[in-house]
Amino acid sequence: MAPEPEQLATPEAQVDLEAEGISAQDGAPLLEVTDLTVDFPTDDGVVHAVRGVSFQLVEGEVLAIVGESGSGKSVTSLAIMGLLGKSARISGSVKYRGVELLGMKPRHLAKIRGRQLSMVFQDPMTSLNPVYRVGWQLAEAIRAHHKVSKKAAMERSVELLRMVGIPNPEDRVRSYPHEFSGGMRQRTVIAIAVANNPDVIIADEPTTALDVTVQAQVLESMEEARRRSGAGMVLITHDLGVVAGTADKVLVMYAGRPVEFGSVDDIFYRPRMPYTVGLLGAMPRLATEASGKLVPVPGSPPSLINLPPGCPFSSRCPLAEPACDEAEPDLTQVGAGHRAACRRIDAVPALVKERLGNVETVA
Amino acid sequence: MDVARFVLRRLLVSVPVLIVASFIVFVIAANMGNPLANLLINPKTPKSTILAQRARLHLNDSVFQRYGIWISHFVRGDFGTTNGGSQVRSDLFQALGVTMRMIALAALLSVIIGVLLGVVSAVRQYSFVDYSTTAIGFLFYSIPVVWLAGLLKIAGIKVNQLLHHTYFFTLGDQTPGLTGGFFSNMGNILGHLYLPVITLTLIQIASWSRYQRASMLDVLNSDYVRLARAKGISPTRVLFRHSLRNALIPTVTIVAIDLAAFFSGAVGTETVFGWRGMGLELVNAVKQVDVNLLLGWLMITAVIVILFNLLADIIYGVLDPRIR
Amino acid sequence: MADLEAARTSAAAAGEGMAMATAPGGPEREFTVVARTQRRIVLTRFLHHRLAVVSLVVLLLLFFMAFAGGHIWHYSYKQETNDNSVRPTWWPYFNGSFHWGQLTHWKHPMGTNELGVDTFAQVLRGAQKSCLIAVMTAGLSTVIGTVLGAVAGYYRGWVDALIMRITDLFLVFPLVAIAGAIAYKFTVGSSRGWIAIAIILAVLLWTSICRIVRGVFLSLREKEFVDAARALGASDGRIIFRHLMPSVVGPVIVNATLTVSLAILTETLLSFIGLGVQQPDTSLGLLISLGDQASQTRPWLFYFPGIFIILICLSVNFVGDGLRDAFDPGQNRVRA
Repeated sequence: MAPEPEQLATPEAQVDLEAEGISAQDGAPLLEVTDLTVDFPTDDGVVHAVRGVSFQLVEGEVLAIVGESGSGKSVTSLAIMGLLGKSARISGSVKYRGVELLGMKPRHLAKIRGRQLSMVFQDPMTSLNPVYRVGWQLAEAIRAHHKVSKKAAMERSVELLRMVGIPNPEDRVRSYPHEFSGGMRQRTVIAIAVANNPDVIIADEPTTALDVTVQAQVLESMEEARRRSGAGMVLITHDLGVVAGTADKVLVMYAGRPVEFGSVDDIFYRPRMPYTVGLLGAMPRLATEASGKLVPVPGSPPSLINLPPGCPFSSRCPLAEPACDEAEPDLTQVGAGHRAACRRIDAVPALVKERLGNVETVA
Repeated sequence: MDVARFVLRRLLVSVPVLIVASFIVFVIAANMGNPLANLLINPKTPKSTILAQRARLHLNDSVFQRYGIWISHFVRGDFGTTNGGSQVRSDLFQALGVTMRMIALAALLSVIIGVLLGVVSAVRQYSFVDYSTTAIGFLFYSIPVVWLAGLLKIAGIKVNQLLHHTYFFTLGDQTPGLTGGFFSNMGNILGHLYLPVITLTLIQIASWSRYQRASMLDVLNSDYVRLARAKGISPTRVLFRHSLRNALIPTVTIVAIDLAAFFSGAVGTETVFGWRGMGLELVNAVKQVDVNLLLGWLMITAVIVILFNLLADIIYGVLDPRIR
Repeated sequence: MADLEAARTSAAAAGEGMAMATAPGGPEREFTVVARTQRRIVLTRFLHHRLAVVSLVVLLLLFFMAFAGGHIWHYSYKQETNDNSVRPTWWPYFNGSFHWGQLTHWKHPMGTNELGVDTFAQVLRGAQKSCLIAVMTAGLSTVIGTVLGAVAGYYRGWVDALIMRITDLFLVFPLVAIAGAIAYKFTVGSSRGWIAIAIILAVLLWTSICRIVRGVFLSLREKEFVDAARALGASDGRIIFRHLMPSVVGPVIVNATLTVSLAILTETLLSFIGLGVQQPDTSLGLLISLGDQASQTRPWLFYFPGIFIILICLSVNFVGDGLRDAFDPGQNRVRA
């Protein structure tokens, strides 16, 4: 069994922050994002990467953010962690346990990052610093937030590597990243993310860059790590198969905006936005008949610089009508905890039946 | 000790390079011109003298035989004699000492200032420092080194006149016939070094600071620096332990590669300031068709550059474990 | 055939559909694309860089002066006038006391030397030689470097290793020494010597463009479209020229531009130390050398040739930088 985190020092990070007048509120949700907007001024114009995203995360919950490239899901996660470049214009609110993260001083933010809030990145081949040993990088993450000796931190690193399923961790801890395979590197990154028992883990497409065979193993490691620490997770992906296995709630994004939000059952069995239906239809499933074709969504997403005035999906939507091009629809309630941004919500169930037949369990 | 094995490997690779280089050098030098030209111009030179000289210089043998003769002497330290009769080796080593003073100091200064400017430009991108360094870099990238040297010479003389004291020496590498203690001699040598070193440094900073800026920017935007920030390490530690550490590695290579360019610049600068160094030796060797001198010159510089590259490779291997 | 058709359709569908596998290392931003040729895109981007455009104008002006100026200017570079060692005539201190009206006198804009030869005419003549050499060098070295780089990057294996070792060799020697040693034989007493200098410089400067082209070819070679082309029966030559070369055009042009600057500077250095262009022919490097010897008494002979070189190289470098940005803006990409 891995040594319990209580063996390490008390969360001094929180003590430090309280001394500076930043204290967490009891009863506040783990993560509360309200109307997050991110713009990037470029030579070609202003890129509206994220346009008003809101969601909440509570303890132990897994929220999946789904969308294609350009939907703004990665930028959202980077904005939450405060890792966007200087050119980004961010507005809105991101609260961790009631404490506002946007605009926080870098010193304070550094205390929260890696300790209460941690992140797993997409490309394991470039996520680790090539010139330092793996154990050193793990120990660095630990010693950044706890006053422990190098020896103790290294021992904990060995345990962490063992926990994420890396064989022979006592030897491997002295390896360099280039001596690890992609899957092992990603597991190391996961180990770094859970090293200090965070409350929130943000995973940005953690398995996209890996072989399919390794994906399942890494996902399992991540699930295991998450369950042990009881953390909440924001899982960003375009792979609905991953969502079905692990998520509790799903947020579907398109062109920088949320277009549907609900529980994982809502999204898979009762989608109410044509884009979501399209996503489901394009996904291969075991229940699909042998002659069944994958139905992709035709066309491509709109430019984030010159957005059309109406619903950004209308040019590709099978249910589009002229009213759709006039103004962007807001998220409207379609069920308990289930919202969708579409004018033709009522027509969607028929589309579902037509496209997906009797909706089967996703295997 | 895989570092030792790495060093050995690099050393073994250098040897064939040196051998091939020496052969090419020989072919070039052998075809520089006719060493008998001076004799042939004078119609009164007896044929026997010409034939004797031909035999002495082995001009009747094939290129390969002549190469073999030369290289067998060379590796034993016998670099032959110049046209004027002096020993090539002692002439060149003395000239080398003079030139290396200039190059070593200029290289050191250029690395320190260039790296500093590059790093600051990258960290404070689009700031005043960044733009002015880029602008000045562009300027000095476009100035011929000899013109800059001449300009500084004019300026140095003006300053000396204004201050009624020779702070900047503009002629020669040191005042001839120096007596006096070690420190006053050093002061004199330093006084002669100011202007040439400033010239070389200014030109080199232009390219190295740009290179360092690009390297630093690459690192600052990399995934692993982003992960380091996500770990919650203090920003200072991220800068020094992660960003700077990685950004300096390519600089090692570029400094080694540019060493040959430093030699070229030094040759020009020496000519402007009247130094009796490698520059003078080279020009004399070519103009007087002095084959031995030219061969010695090229081989010595080749050895220095290769050794320096070897050193850089070793440092690179120590810094970047992926290479080993 | 039917299989190919079906494969292509499903590939297209998969590409446009949702079941997307984004390449590791960063998904591309996707836009509704308006089809524009590469040439148009590059040109538009270049014209947005005011500095580069201004530099281009300046450069063309300088080149015009170098090549046509000698015929237009009423003094020849060999002509000895009676105005010996005359300062630039527009210099307000021309007669010893300050006089604004002096600014209108343009008889000898760069002064004269001790024989009364007009410096401006000499600078024009010297610039012509230097520019000729530089352009020839850049062109030749680009051709050599691109061909060798393409071969090395495409065929790899021992061919690549050989070419790379050769480029390593070229890095070992100071440029000036080799160039000087070889060129001197051809330039002494010959008015066609400058061609030799251009050729020799080209042979010494091709290594950087070779590495760049090789790098591009090495990375592109692995992409599927090369395999696809070969599967359709394309020959090696066709693959190289039609499929891979277009990607290299950008860096090659940029590097060629920068080689012009490098060639001018190197030729200046060579001529200054006496191993380049020889008298009675003239080049900017030679002029600087003569000017340097007279710099205490007739500094204008020193300043102006140098300023001319600086102007040419600066504008070449700005244009090259603008071209580099036009072909590959880089910093505008944002990860979604």
